[in-house]
Amino acid sequence: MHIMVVGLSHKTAPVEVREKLVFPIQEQGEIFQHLISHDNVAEAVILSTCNRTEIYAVVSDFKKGQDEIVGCLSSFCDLDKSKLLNYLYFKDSENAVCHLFMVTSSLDSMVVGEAQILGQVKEAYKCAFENEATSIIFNKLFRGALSVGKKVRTETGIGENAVSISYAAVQLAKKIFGNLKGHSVFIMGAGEMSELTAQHLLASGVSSVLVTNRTYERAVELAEKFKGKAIKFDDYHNHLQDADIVISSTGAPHHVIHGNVVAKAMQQRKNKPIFFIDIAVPRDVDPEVSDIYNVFLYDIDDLQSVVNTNIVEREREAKRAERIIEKEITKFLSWLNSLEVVPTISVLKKKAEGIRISESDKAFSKLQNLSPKDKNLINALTAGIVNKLLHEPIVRVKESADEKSGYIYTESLRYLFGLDDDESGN
Amino acid sequence: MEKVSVFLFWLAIFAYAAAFVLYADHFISRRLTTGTLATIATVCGGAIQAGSLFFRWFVSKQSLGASAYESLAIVVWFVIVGYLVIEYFLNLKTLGMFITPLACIFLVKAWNYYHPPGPRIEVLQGSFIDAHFMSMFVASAALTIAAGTAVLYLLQEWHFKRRKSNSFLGRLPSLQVLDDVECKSVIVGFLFLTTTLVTGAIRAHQVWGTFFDAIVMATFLTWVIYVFYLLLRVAVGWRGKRSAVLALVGFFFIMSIRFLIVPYMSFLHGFRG
Repeated sequence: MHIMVVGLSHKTAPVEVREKLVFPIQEQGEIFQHLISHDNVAEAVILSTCNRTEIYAVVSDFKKGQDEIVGCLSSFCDLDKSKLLNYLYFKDSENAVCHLFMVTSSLDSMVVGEAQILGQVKEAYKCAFENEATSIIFNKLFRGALSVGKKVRTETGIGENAVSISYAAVQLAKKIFGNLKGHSVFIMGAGEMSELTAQHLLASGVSSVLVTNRTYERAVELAEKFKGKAIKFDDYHNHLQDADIVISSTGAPHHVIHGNVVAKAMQQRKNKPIFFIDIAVPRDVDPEVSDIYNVFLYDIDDLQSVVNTNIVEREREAKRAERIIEKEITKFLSWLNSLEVVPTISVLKKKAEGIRISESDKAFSKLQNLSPKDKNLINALTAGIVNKLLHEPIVRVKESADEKSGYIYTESLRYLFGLDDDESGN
Repeated sequence: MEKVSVFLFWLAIFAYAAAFVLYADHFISRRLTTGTLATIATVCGGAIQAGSLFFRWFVSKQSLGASAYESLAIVVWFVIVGYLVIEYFLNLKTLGMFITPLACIFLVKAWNYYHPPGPRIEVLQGSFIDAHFMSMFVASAALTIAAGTAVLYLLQEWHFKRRKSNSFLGRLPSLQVLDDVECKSVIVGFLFLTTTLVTGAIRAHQVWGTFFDAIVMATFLTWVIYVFYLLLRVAVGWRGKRSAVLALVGFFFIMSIRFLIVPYMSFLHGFRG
């Protein structure tokens, strides 16, 4: 049997193609039925996200499996087979396993380290499991992949540091205020960027929003959107003391927020820390403000440099993640190899022979008066019994090896006779 | 028994040192296993040290704390217990990286003062003096923890004001959490420091009829620093950097009392060499 993956992703296909190949969870049942109905396909999992569509399968014959899966994809998405082939990649055995582990650990994602993919793989596996499209190999493989994904997230810093300006701002705010619950944000100047940052802040628990803008109507509009309060621009300095985080992006050609205003606000808020995020160019906040006690100021360049460092950091962490993945691949492959028929039979025979010899030796030590002829006879007898007993299972396991789920019998044999324990014991 | 106590004392130092290495590894590599092992090592160290103190108490048959060796060891034990409580609630393993080596240094220093367990002199007996000792230990431990978090706060603050991302400094806990822990530790420390001062002064007055001594004055001065710490924090909003600096100044005074005034300048504490 082979593990294989057929799929396309943001790396191989443009969005026009990807959007045609989206299989929502609720529609996957039909595809599973179609796939598993082939004699060649034993197990299947469909991973369909906005950036990739992949079908993982356990097949008896790689070439045939490839054709069947491509056929299935093209029939379900109304795309010509030959056109589809331009965008697809095929991987088998070790490469397929490695690919799945990389995908689950978000090393193959558009934004390396993003957190969603782990949940998406989990959903995909769950759906296949519920449709009875998985069996021992994929149950082991996908559970393994999910635990690798988790391990990579917790043991490397791959998803730790923000790689976009707005997220970097949120992360810095968290490092200053700890929990953002109960804190307030002041948006000065309605713009796309400040809106996005405010959205992230609200999602992280910020509870109240103040908005001001040169055109008051725009401020009111934005305030309604965030369920906040609009403030006249000329009046902003009277409200500065209520803000913990200030996002500033006015279009003013000069500094808008000066040291004396901030110093006064700080006095009124009893020096509670305040965080200015100045994303305007030219800058809104006088750089001298950052010298004031408990005032933290980051301008757009500072945020960009934080992001740059974080990207480099992520790349370094991705290397560490690859090392974790390599180890897990080796572990999985050695388990997979144990499902092969021939080694299983030889281990079984060795175990039986071992038992036979040790038991007859015990008997011989008690029966001192046996002649060599008697001993040969007894040896032949015991060997005969052992061989006869094992004959049938061995023949049947060999026969079923060519069938689509034959490895289930191999696994059962290993389990029932405790062959894995013996091997690890040795 | 005395040998057992000494053996456990050194074993505890070893455990704290191991904990430090593990905390550092956890900080740098983020391996979860070393983080957990670090906590286990610290807990074991605390338990072993408790054993060491127990055997010493068993031999000397009276409450401990009247000698430099004992008092330093007990302070370290309280610091470790306090730290473990903080770690349990806030998962501040980074602080462990600072606390455990400090514990090792203090214990090695304590060994310089080692003497076999024996009875106390008469002046130092009684439950009143025990209360004096105990509150002094808790106060020192709490204020040590406050100083540790203050150092972390200053590092983190410097990192923020510098406006450059640094992957190591970025892993320090948030400013707010550090400020909170520091403030709460100071409050606990301050309360027990007050008790120490009052009990000490009363006892000194009972025995010598005076409490004008370098140590009473120095402790009073330290106490005033912490009064300022709390007052300025509440009234003027001195939080963050300024209060962190004050916490460090206070800790510097505590250390000076411990290592300069007690051994060399105080006649009230001069009875046990």
